[in-house]
Order: sequence, then C-alpha cells, then structure tokens
Amino acid sequence: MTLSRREMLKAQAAGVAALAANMSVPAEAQPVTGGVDSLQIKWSKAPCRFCGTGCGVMVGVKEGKVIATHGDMKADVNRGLNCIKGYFLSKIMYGSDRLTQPLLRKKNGVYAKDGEFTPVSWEEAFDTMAAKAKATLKAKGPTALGMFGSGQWTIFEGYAATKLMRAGFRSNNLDPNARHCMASAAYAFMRTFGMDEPMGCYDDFEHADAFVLWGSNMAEMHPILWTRVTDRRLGHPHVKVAVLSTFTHRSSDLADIPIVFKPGTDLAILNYIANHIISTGRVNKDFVDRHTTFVKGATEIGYGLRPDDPREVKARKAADAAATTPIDFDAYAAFVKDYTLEKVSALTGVEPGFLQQLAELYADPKRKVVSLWTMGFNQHVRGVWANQLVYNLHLLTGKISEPGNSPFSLTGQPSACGTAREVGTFAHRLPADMTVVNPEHRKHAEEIWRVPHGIIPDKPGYHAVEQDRMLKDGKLNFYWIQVNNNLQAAPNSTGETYPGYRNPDNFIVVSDAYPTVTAMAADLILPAAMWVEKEGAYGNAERRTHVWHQLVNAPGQARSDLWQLMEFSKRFTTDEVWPAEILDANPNYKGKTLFDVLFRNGQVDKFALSEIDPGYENHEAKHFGFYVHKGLFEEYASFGRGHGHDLGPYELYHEVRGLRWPVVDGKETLWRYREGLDPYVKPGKGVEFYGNKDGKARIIAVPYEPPAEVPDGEYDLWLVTGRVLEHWHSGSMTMRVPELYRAFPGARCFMHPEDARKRGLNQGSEIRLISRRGEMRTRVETRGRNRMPPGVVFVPWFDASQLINKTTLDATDPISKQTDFKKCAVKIVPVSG
Amino acid sequence: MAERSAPRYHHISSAVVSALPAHLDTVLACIGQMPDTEVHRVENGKIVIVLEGASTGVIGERLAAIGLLDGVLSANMVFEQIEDLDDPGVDP
Amino acid sequence: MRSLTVLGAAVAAGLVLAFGAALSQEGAPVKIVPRLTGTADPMALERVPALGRPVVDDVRRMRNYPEQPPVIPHAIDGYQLTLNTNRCMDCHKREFTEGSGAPMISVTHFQDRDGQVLSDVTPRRYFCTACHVQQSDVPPLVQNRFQDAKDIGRKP
Repeated sequence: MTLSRREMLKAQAAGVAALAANMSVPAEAQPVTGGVDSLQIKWSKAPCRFCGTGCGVMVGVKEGKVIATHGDMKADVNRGLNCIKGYFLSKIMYGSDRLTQPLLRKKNGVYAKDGEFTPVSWEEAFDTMAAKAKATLKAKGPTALGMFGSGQWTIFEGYAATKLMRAGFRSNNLDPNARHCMASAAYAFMRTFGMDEPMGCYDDFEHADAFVLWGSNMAEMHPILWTRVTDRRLGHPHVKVAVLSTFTHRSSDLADIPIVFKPGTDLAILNYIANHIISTGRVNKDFVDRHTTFVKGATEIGYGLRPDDPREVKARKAADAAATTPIDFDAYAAFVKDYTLEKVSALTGVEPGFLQQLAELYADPKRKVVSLWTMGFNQHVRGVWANQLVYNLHLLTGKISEPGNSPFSLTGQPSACGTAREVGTFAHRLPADMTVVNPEHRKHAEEIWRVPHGIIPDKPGYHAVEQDRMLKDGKLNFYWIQVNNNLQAAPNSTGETYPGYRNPDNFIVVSDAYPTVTAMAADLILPAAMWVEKEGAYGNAERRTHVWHQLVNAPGQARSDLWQLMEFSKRFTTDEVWPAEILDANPNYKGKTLFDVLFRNGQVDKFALSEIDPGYENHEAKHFGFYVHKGLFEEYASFGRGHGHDLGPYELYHEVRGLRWPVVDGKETLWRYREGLDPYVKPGKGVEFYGNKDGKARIIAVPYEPPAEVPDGEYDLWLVTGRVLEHWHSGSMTMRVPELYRAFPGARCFMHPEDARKRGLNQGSEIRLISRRGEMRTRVETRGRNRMPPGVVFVPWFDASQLINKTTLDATDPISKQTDFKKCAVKIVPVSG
Repeated sequence: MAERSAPRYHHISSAVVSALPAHLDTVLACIGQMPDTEVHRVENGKIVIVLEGASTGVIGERLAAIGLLDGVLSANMVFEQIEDLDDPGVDP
Repeated sequence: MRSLTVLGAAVAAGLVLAFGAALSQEGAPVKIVPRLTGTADPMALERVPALGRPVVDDVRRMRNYPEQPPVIPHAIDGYQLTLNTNRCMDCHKREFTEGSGAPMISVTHFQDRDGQVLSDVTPRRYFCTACHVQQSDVPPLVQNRFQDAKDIGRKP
C-alpha cells in the first residue's frame, strides 16, 4: 500500500467519523484533483416521492440537477435506509419523455375531440379549458364539473383544489385516487373512533411482541417498515409474526404463522378470534366497560355496483349500508359464537392449528400486538367491516393506544393521509374530519375561507367509481385529473373509464409529468412539475407532516399543480360561478376573480417573499408575489388547531424531519387517546376516544358475507391485482428508471404450476386473461416471488402495456365506495398462433 | 491453503470519542501517546480519531482502552477499511 | 434451466439466445405509451414480449452514485431468504468472502437503527432483495437523462 493511498484512506475514515459526530468536514480532508468545488453537492432533506411510509431522503443537487439521493440518517422513519425505489429517486424526473408543454387535441387549428395532440401555449390551454368549464356550468350547473385528485398532491395542492372546487366552482365532485386506496380505512376510523387516522405510530414496531399482517405484503410494498419488523423479529426471538394472505409472498418468508385463506373469508377469521377471546375468558372487562359500546351493522348491503345490477336490486340494505343499531356485550358475544374453529376452518381452508395460534396472539394478555393492513383489507367489498373487525380484537383486549399495542392501517401513497384525508379532498369531506353534509361544518369552513355563507354545496359529490360512470353517462362533462393515472388504476376501464373519457360530450384535462395512458386518453394535457421541482408537504401513515424546499427547476414549461390550480382560478369571476342571491347579499364579492376571493383573501397572501429561505428557489411564490405555501398552510392549519389536529408553525417543518400531529406546544404526539401520552385526554380518564362525544369506541357485530363475484365453471379463477417492489403504482415514474425497469420489465400472471399445466401453458407462455368485462394479454409466471394456491392468479397493474384493470370488476365496499381489486373471476386461455 | 502464507492485512478505522470538557486535555494527551493512533478533529467534546493496525482485534483493544480513560463518556467505532496488502487492486 | 424452457416456448426465443439483445424484442418493440397522436388507442391489445432473462454474467456494474445499492449480476433462482436461512450470506458474509470471492457486505450494513456498529449485519438489513435486484437482458423502455455527478461541474 502506497503512502498516499494510506493517507487518503485515513482522511476518508476521519471524514466518515466526523460526519457521524455531526462535525463539518474540512475541505482539505478531501484530496481531489480538479478542486473541491467540483465535488461539492448541496444536500437537502425531502420525503420520498413514493409510498405512504414517508422515508426521509437527502437529495444531492449540483448545477441545478439532482445527482444523488440516499436515506436520511436523521429521519426517524428510516434512519438512513431506503428501498430499491427510494435509492433510485434521483432518476425519476429525468425520463426522456417528460412533458414540457401543454398539448391540446386539434383539427384544422381548433380544438377537436378526435384531433391530434398539438403543442399550445399555457394561454391557449387555459382559454380553451375555461371556455369548456363555463359552457358546462351554464348548461348543467356545478354538478357537471368534476376533478380527480391524488394522495400524491402536496398538502398545498390538495387544499387549493378543495377550495377551488367547493368554494369556487361550488362542486363537491372532487375525489382523490386515495378512494381506490384507503377509503375503507378512513370510514372505519370515523365509525369506530369518530376521528380519522391511527392512534399509534411506527415506534410501536420496536415495542411489539407480535405482528399480524392482514392482507399486506409489507416486504414488497412497505420495505422500510418491513426492515423495522424484521429487526424486531430477528433481534428478539420471543416475537411472532403472522402473515395472512390469499397467496404466499415475500412477507410470508418471515412468518412464524403463515396463513393462506380463501378470498373474502378473512371476515370469518376475525369473528372467530373475537369468539376465542370471549370463550376463553380473556376479555379485558374493565377496558370494555369503560371505553367501548357495542353496535350491530346493517347486513346484505350489496356491492356498490350500478344500481340496476341484479346484485344491487337483490341487496336488502344497499340504500342504508352504513346503518348501525346499539346492542350490548351479551348480544355481541352471542353473535360471534357462531364462528367456531371448525366452521371457520372449513370456510377459510386454513388449518385449525394456525387459526388457534393466531387467536392466541390477540388473546394472551401478556403479548403486545401490532396489526397491520393495507389493500387486502381496504380493497374489499366489506373493507370497512374488515377494518372494524380488527379494531374489535384490540378493543376487546384493551390492546390499543400504547407502545406496542396498535391496530395500524398503512397507506400506499405519500400523502394519502396528509392530503386526501386531513385536507379533506374526498367528495364528502372538508378539512380536519369535517363533512359537507353538516351545516355547522360548512359554516365553519366558509368562515375560515372568508367566503359567504351558502357557498359550499351540501350534497356529497360523485366518488371515484361514480365519476367514471357519470362521465360515461354524460352527466359529468368537464373533468380535470391531477397527479394520477386513473385509466390505468380504475376498475373495469373497458366498460366504464375509457368510454367516459372518450365520450364526445366530455372535456378531459390531465396534468402529469409523463405521457401516461390517462394523459393519452385526455383532450388537453398539462405538463406538471414533480417532487422537488416545487416546495411541498406530505403527510405519511403515522400522522407525520413533512415539508421540503424546491431544489431544482421543472423542465420547459412544466408547472406545479398548485400553479395550475391558482392560475386557472384567475379566469373566473364570482358573477360567472356564484348564485346572484348570494352575491346580492354580499355585494363586496361582486366582480372579483376566484383567485381574488380564494387566494388573495388576506390570509393566503399574508406572508411576504422575504420569509422564504434565500437558499432555495420558489417558483410559485415568485410568480404570485407572496409566500403562497406558507399562506395556504397556515390557513389550513387553523382548521385543526385546538381540535386535536394541531399542526406546528410552518417554519418548524423546514427544520425537522416531519412531526406527528397533534403538535401541541411544539411537541408531537406519538400515541393518541391515552392519558400522559396525548394532551387531549382529560386527566383521570386513562383512555379517552374523544373523537366520539361519549369518549368511547364502537365494537361492531357484522357477519361474513361472500364477495360480489366468485369463480364458476366458465370464469374459473380468482384474480388478485396488486404491486411489486420495484414499481410504484402505475409505474409512470419507476418504469422510466432503467435499473427499476430492468429489475421487473413487465407485468406477468403469477399462477400455480398445476393451473398452468391444466391449460397447456408453460412458464413464459403468452396468454389471454378474460373476464366478463374485458381482456388483456400477459405471460405466465409459475416460479416467481409469489407462490399461488390453485385457483388463484395474481397480476400486478404497473405495466401500461398490459392493463389488467380492463378486466377487474367495479364492485366497491358499499360504505366506503372503495373498489375491491382483489376478488373477481377470470379465465385464462393460450394466445393461439 | 497450507502452502500459502497467511494473508497480510492493514486495518484503518475511525472512531468518535466523547469526553467530559474538564477531562478533554488529559484524554487527548493519553490518546496522543498511543501507537498508530491519530487525533484528526476535536469539536464540542467530541474527538475523531483514526486507528491503524494489523487486525480488528488490535484496534478494538486500543479503543476499549480509550473507553476506560477517566472522563471518557463513549468511544465508538464508526468506520473500518481493511486493506489486503497482497492485493493492490482491492475494491473498497 | 430457465433458458432451456424459453427455447422450448418459441423458435423466436432461440434466435434471442443466438443473436443477443438486438433481436430480443420479438418483432415490434412494446411502448409504454402509444405515439403522441389523437388516434392512438391506449386500450389496444398489444403483443407481449417474452419474459426477459436475468443477467448472470457476474460483471459488477458501475453505480450511478456511491449511495446506490449495487445490482445483482448473478442467478438467484431458488435462493432461500427466510426466517431461518439467508443464502446471500453464504457468500457475501465477511467470513465467507475469501472462499467465495464475492464482495463483502458493506460496513454500512453493520449499523443498527441507533447508528451503533454491530459485529455482523444488522437484522434490519436481513432481506437483501429489498434493495439489491437482478437485471433483465432487455433495453430500457424509456431513455433516462440522469447525469452522473462526474459529468456535472468538473471543468477541465
């Protein structure tokens, strides 16, 4: 070893140690040719762009380009780790087909539904769009105008969208793609605790004695949370992991109790466990008496299909699916008594021994249990029930709201909680868990927004699946889609979504960074800035709000969704969109633009440009002339402060790696509803579920009911859809990263080798996968990471060239209106010739 | 394996030592007297040191000795580079 | 094993083996999106290319930036990565690298959640495939304009 190499290694070693000790590294410790300047990278924090885990990353920028990213050591969520997608964040903005200018379908120089995409200026794009919106409003009123948003919107964007739609255009036809993702979880939180989002946080993982995965493949979909589960399980031999699924996958590799059940029968397993807890005398009676009440849910509630579908006509309670009636403990105990081990084992196909071991994890008073779930529960025609049934288990045993005892609903999008749920971009919601049907809530929102009373409409708008149906039926005619790829994501795109987008009565606008299939099916494409090309804020699954600076500029004329929403609002005056009687009663609002009344309202425009950190660019703020992000954030935060949804002052979020609300006196709250941990619990209460007026949580009695469609003689296989580790959602970002693409270059159909053999298929054979709705083509995979039981196939939906949602069924949970993407019937035949 | 002489290695490690302010000078003096041990940075009671040796064991022993010095709160290894002296093209 | 099955599936696949990546598309390349044109139909049924074969040439690939986890350049078919066994460690664990010739697991993997250095790989890094993936022998779907740090800012 030469002396210079030795000196270099020593300098490097010292540098690493200095970094670990939080010291600055002296420039002279970096022996570099070309000068140290050439090596300098500006590192800034940001949350990851992908899933709801909310990992912190450090983003390295050099000469206006992101050149590296790595896990943030200071971020509590991931402490320096990233999954394979997170490590490749550096490349997601640099796909060579980024959209950089607006594109409008034109024929002979003017807009035409069947025209060719033609580059236009923002001016022309907005002119055409505004004319279409105004014509629609004039002909049919605000209910013909709609918007489909996203759990990937920043908090500012979602908040600006909800203001523009509800208080500007007076339409509640605003829904986020999070409807496809965690609406069932949100409804179950409200029905059980009167307040949305988990009581616990990720710190539960380091305290648990058992983890139960209910329909969640965390090893692939939440890899960094899985590292924390793995760390706990392998580091502490007494810890047990149970993994429930309809097939065997990578999470099963860590399972002490691996369970594969027949699709839909998880409901019966949950009721069996409750029965086991009661019949073995392990109910925490004191907790149940003091902190819970019992209700019985309506049954035979249908499947959220179109109302004329025979299954809906037959459903006794489809119109009143959410109804409940009070019962007592004895009635509840009698109800679950039917769910015996023998009966449930036969129904689910699970060995009795595994069911007993699973039930004991919950029943054993000495074992702390974290239950985790995502789409297996939420994308379920009885998703709200499934969520509530797992709360039953934690409430019966008092295993809740304390470190290590935690029913934990995970999310799939970076701001499903922050933007979709907390901001309230659902068709029925307002910020801070309020709803549009409650007159008090509307009044409160109108006061905060400084708009006249009566502006916010009182009927919930169309939810996601209903929007597609209304587009097809010609009742929704102006439609703006931001930050999502719904033609790829929505169910039954053959029968509903695509005909809706191409319906000649409709004008479809898509804002995106890349030409997705949704963009290609639109009439106007608006190029969007993404991730660190703008200042942003996301809220992850553990109530953590995380803010980032703009770090690079967007390419060409791409603009953030926030810029697009606010700039578009300048093209409407109150006289054009608000009723004359409201304006007559409030004449000072006359003749103003929607931009004036919504964003120049003395609050959103309160903060000067001088408050922006001079070390960072901020395109929107400079464009509008005020610190728009801070203004939107502070106005939004006033909804929740003092009501259990408190956010800290905006500046604080630029300093820290996110904070978990409620943030009271500058301190975040890790566990809610327990005295000593949550400042909102009144002294002496011990536990208080203060979202409900009586301070108690609801335990619900609901049965197993079968799925909407089950395999039969012709369509003889269950189809389950989902994701893979390497690609995120519809793949519009990850498919453009060569390493991620080459790691999983296309969708495929995972199936049991025997199922393949019976159809004359081999590994890699090309097949047609056909349902009653439509068909797609893919190839057979009998050996991959997912091991299917006979009769069940799995196809991921990330691949735009293989749209599995052409075949899925648009059945939803009738309460949450969330689609069941996990259970429909298909057949598979070889591609001939 | 038997014919080949045991491979020769050179280990370069770095560590962060935290010391009470009152003892900082004495701690630095003691470290300064140790063989193959260099102080690279001192800031806010934290000392960055680089240790060299033929094996992890030698370096570990020395770090343990530092940990036992009066006024030392902690001494943690941060980084270790192992150079194979017989292989000049090693890929760290 | 894998390549034999691919051969059996179609004669075209045999050509892939013989002539390499240039012909591995089986005819028309599959596009992630249709052409930027009003007549393109995103709902059209497209031909699905053969499943790509994993790259197993054992050649280490340069990283895009030092923090990037290296990709796996060898076969991992049938590797057990479970509660009880981790096949990757059989070669990449420090003690075994001399015999296997495999790169040692990076020392960054020895730190626990609190940044303490352990004597072996931390359990939170146990499942290697969360970060390290194989690559298939297919060309990228879309070119990426990411620029390596070495190409930015270095003035001659």
